[in-house]
Amino acid sequence: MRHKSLILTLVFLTSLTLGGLTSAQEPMTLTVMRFFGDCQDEYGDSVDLTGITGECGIITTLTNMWNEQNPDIQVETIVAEWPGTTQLNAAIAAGTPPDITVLHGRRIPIYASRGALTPMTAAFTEAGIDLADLTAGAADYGVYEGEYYGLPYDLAATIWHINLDLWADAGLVDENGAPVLPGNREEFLATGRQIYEATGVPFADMPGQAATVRPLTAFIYQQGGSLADEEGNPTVNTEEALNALNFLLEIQASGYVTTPYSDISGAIGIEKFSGGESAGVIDGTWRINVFDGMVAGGEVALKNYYVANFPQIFDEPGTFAGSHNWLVPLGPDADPERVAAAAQFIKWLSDNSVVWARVGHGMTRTSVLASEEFLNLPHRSEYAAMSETVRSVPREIWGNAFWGIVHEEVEAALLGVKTPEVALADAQTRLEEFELFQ
Amino acid sequence: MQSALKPGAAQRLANSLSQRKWRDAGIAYLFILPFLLLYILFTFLPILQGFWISLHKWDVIGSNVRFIGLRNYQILLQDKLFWSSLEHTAFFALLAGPGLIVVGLALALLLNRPIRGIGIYRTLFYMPNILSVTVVGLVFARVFAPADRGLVNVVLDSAGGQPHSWLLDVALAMPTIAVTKIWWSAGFNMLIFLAGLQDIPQELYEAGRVDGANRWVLFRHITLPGLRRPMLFVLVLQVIASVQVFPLIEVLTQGGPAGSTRPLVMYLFERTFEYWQMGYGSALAFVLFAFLFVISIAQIWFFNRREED
Repeated sequence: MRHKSLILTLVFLTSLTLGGLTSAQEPMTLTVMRFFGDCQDEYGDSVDLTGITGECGIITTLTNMWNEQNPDIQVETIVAEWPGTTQLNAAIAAGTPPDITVLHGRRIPIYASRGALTPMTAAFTEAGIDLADLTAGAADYGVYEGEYYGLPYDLAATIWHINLDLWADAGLVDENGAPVLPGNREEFLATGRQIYEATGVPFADMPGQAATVRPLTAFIYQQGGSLADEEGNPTVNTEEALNALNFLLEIQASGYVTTPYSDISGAIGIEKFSGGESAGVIDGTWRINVFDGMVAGGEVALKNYYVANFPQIFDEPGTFAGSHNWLVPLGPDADPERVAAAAQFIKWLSDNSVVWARVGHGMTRTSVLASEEFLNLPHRSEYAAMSETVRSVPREIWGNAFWGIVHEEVEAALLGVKTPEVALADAQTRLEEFELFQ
Repeated sequence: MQSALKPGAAQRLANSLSQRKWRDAGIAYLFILPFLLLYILFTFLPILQGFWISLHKWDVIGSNVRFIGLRNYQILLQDKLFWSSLEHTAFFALLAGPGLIVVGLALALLLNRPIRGIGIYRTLFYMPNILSVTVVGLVFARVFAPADRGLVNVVLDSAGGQPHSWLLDVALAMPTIAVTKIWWSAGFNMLIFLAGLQDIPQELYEAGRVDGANRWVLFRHITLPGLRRPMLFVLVLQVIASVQVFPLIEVLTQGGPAGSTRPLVMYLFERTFEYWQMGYGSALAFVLFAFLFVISIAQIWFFNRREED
């Protein structure tokens, strides 16, 4: 009897141990390669988003929170240098790609066309991501040849940062405290003249690429133009592009707009705007948090800060916006279990994207735009409409080369090195040459 | 002497010497074998592989690889941007190269004197060389910033001059980068020349002075010939460094304005890693290698010939 009890006890304990072993599976570890910086020292243990407004702090804390709440799917971060492509290419070429990565949307086609990305439409849907919730502007940002490869996380758009005090000096602030914005070519130049005469400063600084490829693209779209023909080939040398470029030359010559293209980082534009030496700066959404911080610090001349949409000069509203997209670079034959887990993490980031809006980036989801939390963020209601009218480079392989080529050629025209016609023709030729190598 | 050796001894001695020579050579080769293996594995074979890639249409990632023979080299000859990048590179080398040698030599001559605190001066003039390219680039982007935001323009303005957009002007951007390069790297050449100057026997100068030679004559006929070897070293290194210029320009202008400062290595990087044209990028790299090889050999040949003369 004693022996029998002992044997039964042993069998029971063994079954418990084995059962325990089978149920406590090793957690799955996903690797996420991203830029946005490394801030482990400051946010390595952070699981509270209160008061965090910077990209690195937010993404690090969100990852920590995920790891805390999901012991079965742990996420390890690999920090890459912006724009993330060199490290990603090396990892893919070595056969050790991360499970998830972040890339600018215009790079999706070249990766997807080489079979480096995992098609995600089904995985996103199964994970519960409502793709219909994406705004009209952002809906096709992560799509290549009809398939979702990436989930657009934000809209890094070109907008107009405004010093309300200087606009008020020119009598251009209405009874609601909003600036009286121009709505066409003539009004734009008249507004510039009025502010210059009242304050002696330009009403828009356009630093770096905010003077070239971004406004050119926006103005082409505002005319209903396109950057690609029906077959998807690049079309930069068009009547709309010439109109857009001539307008850029016109506003540069007016003196009301300064175009320091050499201010690549935009640092001088920030200094001038915050110091009250320009009444506005046309630059990215990512500056909003920076300017808000300066105003709150109270040590700069800028006191009343307003964010407006990119000026509408032609028939339709619209601005250029890039987008950070979350992708799975495991190829088309990836392990479905890993893909599903990756989709879950991407959903988590997307569901919490309102926190990402603190940086200043535009949002890609209609539900987030309507949320109280978003609308309560400073300035967000001033430019929220932008999320519906943004446009980007067509999702074609040549989109990878578009940015650098068009920036350089527009700059050549603005500097007088080339005529607008020659600059656009050269841009077209270079993009077509790029296509020949594909 | 020969008669002092027994018959056959000369042969044995020769054999013994030959054996020792072979043994010494064997030991020497054994010592350099680890380096040689690593060199072949990590330098020589990748170079060969690079050439093989240049004969293909080859993406950075993926399986889009196709043999196209010398097609990349044919395209390259008709590529306007290749020629303009080569022109920019040559222009930079012509601007920065002589400046680096003249300033390095002048500093070395100034600091080769028995003056108080000479160690501090030498350290100070060498110090820019230890800064990273990013630091130098960011600092000089502000030094040459447009309007009244840059140090140079502030100084110009206070002296009654007109401010310039140094890095925005197609004609001024490359000279501005060359000035930055000279400030950054002249200290290295100074160090090489200083070592060379200290190797020249003082007796030669004393003899020259006794013969009534003035400073210029001493410099022309003793210092310069005495610096021939360091000069060759500096010249070869500077030409190679100038032709390979890239990071400094990337930080200062990113090849702008309007592509006017894009050097060949930046173009190579752009085509290879931005456009994923690894085959074409490799062809560019091999053409660059050929240029550098010919120029370096020509420099060495020129200096050796002068030395023999």
